Amino acid sequence: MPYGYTGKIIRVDLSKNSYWVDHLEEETYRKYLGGGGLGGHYVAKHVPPGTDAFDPQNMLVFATSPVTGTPVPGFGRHSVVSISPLTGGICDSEAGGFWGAELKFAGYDAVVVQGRAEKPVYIYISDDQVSVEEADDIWGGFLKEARYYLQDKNSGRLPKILGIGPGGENLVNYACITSDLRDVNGRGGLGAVMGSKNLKAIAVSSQNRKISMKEVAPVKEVAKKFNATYSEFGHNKLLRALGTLGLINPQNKTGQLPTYNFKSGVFSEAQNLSGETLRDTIRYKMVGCHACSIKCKALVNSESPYSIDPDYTIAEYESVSALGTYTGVDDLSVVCKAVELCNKYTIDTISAGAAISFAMECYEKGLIDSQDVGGMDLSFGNKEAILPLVEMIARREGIGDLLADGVKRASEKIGKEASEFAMHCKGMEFPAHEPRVKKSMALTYGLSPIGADHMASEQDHAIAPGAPQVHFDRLATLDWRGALDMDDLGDQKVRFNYLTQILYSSYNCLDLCMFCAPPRRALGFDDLIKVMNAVTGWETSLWEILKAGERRINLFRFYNGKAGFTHEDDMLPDRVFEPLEGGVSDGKYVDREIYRHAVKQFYQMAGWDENGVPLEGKLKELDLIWLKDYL
Amino acid sequence: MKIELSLPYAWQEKLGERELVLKIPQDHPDVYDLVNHLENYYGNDAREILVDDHGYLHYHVFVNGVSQSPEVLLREGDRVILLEPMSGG
Repeated sequence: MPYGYTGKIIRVDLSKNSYWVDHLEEETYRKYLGGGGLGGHYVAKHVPPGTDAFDPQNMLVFATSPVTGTPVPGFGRHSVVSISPLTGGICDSEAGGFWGAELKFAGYDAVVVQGRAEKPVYIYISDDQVSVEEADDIWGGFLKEARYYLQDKNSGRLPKILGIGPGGENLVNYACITSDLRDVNGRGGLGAVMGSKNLKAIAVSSQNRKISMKEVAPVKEVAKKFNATYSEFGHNKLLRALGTLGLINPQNKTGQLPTYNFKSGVFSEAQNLSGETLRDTIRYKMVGCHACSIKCKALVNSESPYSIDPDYTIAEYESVSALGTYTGVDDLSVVCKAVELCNKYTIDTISAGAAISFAMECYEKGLIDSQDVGGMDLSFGNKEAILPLVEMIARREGIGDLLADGVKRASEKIGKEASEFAMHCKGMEFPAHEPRVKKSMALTYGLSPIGADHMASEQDHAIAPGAPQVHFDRLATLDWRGALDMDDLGDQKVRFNYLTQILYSSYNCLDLCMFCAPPRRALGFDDLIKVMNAVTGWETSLWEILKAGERRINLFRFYNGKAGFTHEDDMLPDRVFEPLEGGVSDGKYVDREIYRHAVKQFYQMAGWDENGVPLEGKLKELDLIWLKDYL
Repeated sequence: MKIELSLPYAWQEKLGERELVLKIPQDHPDVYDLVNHLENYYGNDAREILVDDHGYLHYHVFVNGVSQSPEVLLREGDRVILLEPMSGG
């Protein structure tokens, strides 16, 4: 077994209340690496395409990578992989924090859960001990109280707890999974899958504090170099100073801050939701993930006008934008309280904000009225509506029950023109990066196998004219040269998107934080390979790592094809093909025919058929031909 | 020539006010001329914040809301924004 891996994967069958340990061949680890790659392999092998997300046969894989837990910034994340109740297809979601490293310290590469427990349970992992325990005392409650309950049962040691709140238990289709209360596997509704299995939490506690590495010195050299140089990258200074909320003002200045359910790219009150305003008002402190020196997470603490608990509340750009600028609400306290509630109840902030802003537009257009929403005024900008709606969604009460299904299903039920402004792809609601300003994001949202995912590729400004030279120097390693306008969606931009979707997919297999990764961040490709080789003892290369990334994408796409996905699922909502309103991005839109052409070009570059399903030759090239027999 | 300039966060941390109106002697400066102008007023710190050891900008350039090369020639009243190339969040 290579170093870096523990060689042990916990398998739990909740239906049979049993568990055992898998030992995979090194070849399997090397092919899929970890994270979404390894998890996708398990799901594809054991869950027939078309299986309902809440069917006990669905599988939940909680996976790390060989470099998770190393003392290098960016290598502390983990993935969760399953069938998504939002999309019906295979989905992975990543999170930072400390849970992934703790699992590795405890001696396991992954936890794979199948079946359904008869009554609520939690899984407890402590070094060599694994148990499935009753969770009646903590089911229905929040994870903060559950963590203290488990601390008392664990001889006073506070475990790292990954789990769900009432949103997951109530099967909200975009319920998320949190670890340590505020690090979130946000997208795809995988928290609802946990809820469907009556699985409340996976608690991990280890006395061990390190992973096995073949050579330690090169790893420490990379960590030292990162810590000495990361502040030279301008965005790291911004992240350190303001967190990701530092993005609000720049996005607004350049007309790419999604506002009023993506009607506009500018928000007149953006300053009220900015990182600067947070810093000067209700910010508590900046914290980071395992081994990371950037510390980009801005915790919020407030007593009035709302009590906001910093244990739950990080003011991230995506969360504040979705619950704030999407809805037109500019009260930072209200928005941060909404973030707290989303994390407590464990529902995805992006999807929740998108669902609420969708409901607001339906209300303003008369598609739903005050009777439908219990007498509330759902006009854009009405801050009084946000907090009640978040709780109604989490509890599936009133209009919340409809919105908890996601904007796709909600728009289908409402009918009329609602689908024209239901901002999703494949059912996954749009994150806060505007594809009409950054044109290749249209392709990323459309073609990512899990739906609209802003972290599935590089973004256009990486190669826009005037982008820092270091981007181009590093992208030359991927055979990319030259600058392209943000507005461009020609064949070369398609090529850039194709190359960087593979790159970012490989990061998902390594559970690597994008804020540390090349081409735009402090780690170079040589640093990445140096860490991989030093940890595992392999002689790997960027080629091999990219191939693992390409393998993940193609496994997901082929699996989804068998589940019935077609090229129509790669289309975008009508609003993307309509002009933005107001500000510097006024009039910008994606041309529908140019987009269709770009999709076809992407399919050809990727070796896919007319529905975006990998051809047999591509499966063979990636050593995935076994999928044809299994699926 | 008058140019409105919005500078990145790193500028504010070290040198203060980041929304400036510059009076540039050249007829059609580019962004590197603005950097030279700022260096004259603020010293070497200005250059260190904005460009790397090879003289390339660390930041993304927008002129009147449109992404541009730093070599683009500016006109009277242009609004230039230098932004961290950030995403994610």
